Amino acid sequence: MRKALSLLRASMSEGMSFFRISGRNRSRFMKVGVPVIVGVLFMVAMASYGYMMMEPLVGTGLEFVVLTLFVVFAAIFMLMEGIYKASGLLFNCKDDDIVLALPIKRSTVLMIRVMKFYLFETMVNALFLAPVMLVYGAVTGAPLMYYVVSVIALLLLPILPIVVSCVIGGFIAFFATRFRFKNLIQIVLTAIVMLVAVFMSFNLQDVIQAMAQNAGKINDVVTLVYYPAGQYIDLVRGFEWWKMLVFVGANVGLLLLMVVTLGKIYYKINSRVKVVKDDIGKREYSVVGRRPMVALVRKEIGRFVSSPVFVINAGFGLVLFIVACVFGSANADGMIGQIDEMGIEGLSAERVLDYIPAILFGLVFMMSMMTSITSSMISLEGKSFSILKSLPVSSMKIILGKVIAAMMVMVPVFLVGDLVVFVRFGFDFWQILMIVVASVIMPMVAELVGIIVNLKFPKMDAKDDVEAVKQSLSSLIAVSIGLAASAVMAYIIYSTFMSGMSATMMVGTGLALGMIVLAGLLIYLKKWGVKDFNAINV
Amino acid sequence: MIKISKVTKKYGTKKALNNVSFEVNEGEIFAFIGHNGAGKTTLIKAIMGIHDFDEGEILINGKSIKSRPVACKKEMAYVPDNPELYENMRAIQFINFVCDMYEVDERRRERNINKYAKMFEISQNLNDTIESFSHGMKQKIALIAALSHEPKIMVMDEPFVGLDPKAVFDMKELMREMAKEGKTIFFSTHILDVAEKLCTKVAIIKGGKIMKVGSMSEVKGDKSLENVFLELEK
Repeated sequence: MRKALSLLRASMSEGMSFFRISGRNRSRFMKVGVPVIVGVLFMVAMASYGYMMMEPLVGTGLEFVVLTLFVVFAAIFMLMEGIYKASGLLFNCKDDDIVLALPIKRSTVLMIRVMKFYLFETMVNALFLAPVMLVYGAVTGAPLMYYVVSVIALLLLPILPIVVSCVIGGFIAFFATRFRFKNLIQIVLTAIVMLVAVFMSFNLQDVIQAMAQNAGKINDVVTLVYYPAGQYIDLVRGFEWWKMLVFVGANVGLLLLMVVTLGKIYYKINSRVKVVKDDIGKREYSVVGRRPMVALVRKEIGRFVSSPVFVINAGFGLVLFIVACVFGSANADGMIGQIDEMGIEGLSAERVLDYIPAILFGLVFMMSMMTSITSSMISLEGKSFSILKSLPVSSMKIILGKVIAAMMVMVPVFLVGDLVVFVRFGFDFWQILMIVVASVIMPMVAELVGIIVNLKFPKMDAKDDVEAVKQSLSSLIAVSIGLAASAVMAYIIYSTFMSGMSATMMVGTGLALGMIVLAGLLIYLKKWGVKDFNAINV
Repeated sequence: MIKISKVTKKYGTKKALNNVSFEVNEGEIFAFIGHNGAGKTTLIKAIMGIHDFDEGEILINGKSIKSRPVACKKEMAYVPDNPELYENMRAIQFINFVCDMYEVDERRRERNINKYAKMFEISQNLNDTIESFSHGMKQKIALIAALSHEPKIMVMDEPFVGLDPKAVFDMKELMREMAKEGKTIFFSTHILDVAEKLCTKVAIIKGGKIMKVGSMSEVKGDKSLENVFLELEK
């Protein structure tokens, strides 16, 4: 046990070094203040959102429906994230050689890694849920026992998503090793599983409707969708010790069962994942010369596609954009018909159709901001950053190489989505031109923000890609900026729509502002970003 | 030629390099020795423009690494102590990438890659992913990438670590050949026998300060380099 705790401590000090920023002596504010401020802002946003949803239900006794929704959505979020994080966190870790050589059981190694995964997911879960739990407690005047149950629930609710993620992630990692292009197979399989999860969560709307219509059966429905949430809500509505014991026992038992079962085949899977199938039967090598910038961009794209975590993380928003464009175009008549039927003043089908360019512009902006590829590109350099810095190219060129590579991933996807909407809704020339320009400018703005954040908060000692892409301060800040910018854009679209502003005017103004911001970011990057780049030591 | 003048580098209050000054001239093979943590890698990274330094100046063939880093780097090649290369790349892709950065034309790079890959007996593996390589193989790839653009100055941090005996021998011969051609070779090492037999000049660093610097005979006199080093360490 002492050995396991020791290993867990060592592992946590490496993997969970969330506040560690590489490279230089930073102020206490940068190390602790910034992440705390970001975390507090995120929790305040969640609390406000929870209160807004709960307010109409005050006094009806149905306030817990909001709590249920947050629990279920947090679980879906953890599950989708966990599926692609699991294979990176559990298998083929950089510290495998040291850890597996230690005189401890292999199942203990797995347990430690699962614990690390669990603690991170619990932290994320708490960011989502704790504010809403507090709001519920305040709104309903809940007794002290409610808070005790909620704290225990914060610790137990991540278990099921983690167990499912580990099993699916492990299966994907193992299956992918049978193929030469294991990364590609891993990306495709993970994407399929995540799309299924997205599809199922879209269908959750029916469940929510059923919940709203049939309050008496709410807990049954929730239990059916996500058993631990049902148990928790049951405890919130009426505490009983035996229910508490079942809640704790079922979740902890599930975790132990997974560790014991997976522990038996963990070493076998991990050994197979390590095998590099490289016998391509081609011994002649080709010598091809390229311009430095082309070579830099190719290197970045190669790094991107070699990492399933990186691809899935970035690809999620892009796939959602395409789905939204295709789905929106295919179902436009029905959706607009429904709007007409509502008969709300100022909300006519004609007005909505006129406003489609502005909505598309907003979508391009939001998905750009949510797809911050560059926010981990510096961190992913790791120790090889020294080699990059020793090369005879300017720091600005290296940074721009990363931004261009990210844009080459994003822009074609946006243009395909745009094309679908152009064809379906018949935009005029100026609208097409502005949207096409926006589909280049907005990703560039988003990626410049990402790289600036990563230069300020690099994590050069990440043990694996998951740490750099998902568990770093840089990615947390970039995601928070993306969420805040998206919320602002949603508000702007809504208010300009209601004010009667024309779509062309809205898009034109937005594009002009985007260009000004872009110029500002480029100036900042040249003046201060390069300094940050040069100051990073590995 | 590398000219290091009064270079100081601080990590917080600790001086990793303390007023370091010496020169490495054309045609010299210069060994830089010191115990772990003495400041060898810090100075090498400062020379290469990887790390900044607080005081002093480093000139590469008369150009300042601080004010003209790209021009300086064009004349140098760097082999790191731990070859952390891009694991996702094939070896040939990595070498091509480095050559692209130095804008080496295809004919020249093909000739050099073939020559050094053959010398290090790794031609058969150039199409393999770096991820699958041992430490020594990665070191060979780092060396080939460094040599392929025919640098005037070679800066190497522990270049012999992980290499097999044949590759060590070939590398030493190559360094002698390059020095004869007037190129500058500067490297850190813990293998004092190699330094003593191979190098024309040596510097010993301790706690960020240069303890001794000069030609091999000036530094060691009648003693062995090992004895001089151990006496300084006391």
